[in-house]
Amino acid sequence: MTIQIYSSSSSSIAFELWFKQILWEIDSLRAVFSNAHIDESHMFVSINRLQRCVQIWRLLCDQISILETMTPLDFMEFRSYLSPASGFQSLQFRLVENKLGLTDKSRVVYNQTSYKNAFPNPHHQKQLMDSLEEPTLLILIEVRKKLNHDFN
Amino acid sequence: MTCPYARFTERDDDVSSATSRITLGGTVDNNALEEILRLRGYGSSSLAKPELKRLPSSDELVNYGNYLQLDRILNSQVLLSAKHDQNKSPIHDEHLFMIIHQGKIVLV
Repeated sequence: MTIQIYSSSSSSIAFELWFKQILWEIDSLRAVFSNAHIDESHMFVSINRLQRCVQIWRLLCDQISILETMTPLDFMEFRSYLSPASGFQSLQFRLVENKLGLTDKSRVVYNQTSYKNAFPNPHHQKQLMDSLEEPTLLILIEVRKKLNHDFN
Repeated sequence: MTCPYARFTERDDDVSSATSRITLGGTVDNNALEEILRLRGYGSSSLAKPELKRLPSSDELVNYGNYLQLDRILNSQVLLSAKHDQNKSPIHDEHLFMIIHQGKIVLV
């Protein structure tokens, strides 16, 4: 629901810019946690960057209230011009989900087809596949926790 | 109304009521909306399919990316900290600096 609402807005561009920033942070964190050795300074940086992501997400959520000043009827006046475009086609949103560690198993299938079918562009398809095959932030942190546990 | 998911992180006791609040302040009659959606060719009970629109500048079907011109916007983060010293990786925070300023331009 939330995705469909924001996708109707010109503020989607602001969302996409911030998604790019979030991906930038997640990628840097995945690089940090891929290191064999992580020292204290890395932890400070990691927490700082994660908090940055949280702040960005809050900002995006608050922005929804601006969008809500447009009524569904206002939206319907021009929605037909945009068909078949849809916020469902936001690649970066899927990349954020996948790189954080959301798995296909926990997704709800929409319209009896995989979300991956919304990305026919081969370059986008590649980015999507890479995000599923590379170690996710969740997995990297879980591995780290296990290593620490075994070590102790 | 704030985002139901943000609410979720602060107070997790009212997930179901947050879901019910998604109805945009209760100002829109759902039956009426459903009817309009159906008439315009949207919604589950719709018989008519919406007409597929193409970009005026090319013959491409409209999609999220080409409508918002994302290829231009998302390829506009050229970090000078990397440009000036080819051997060095970019300074991480320059990306945030750039996105914040570009975001301001978008919103103004």
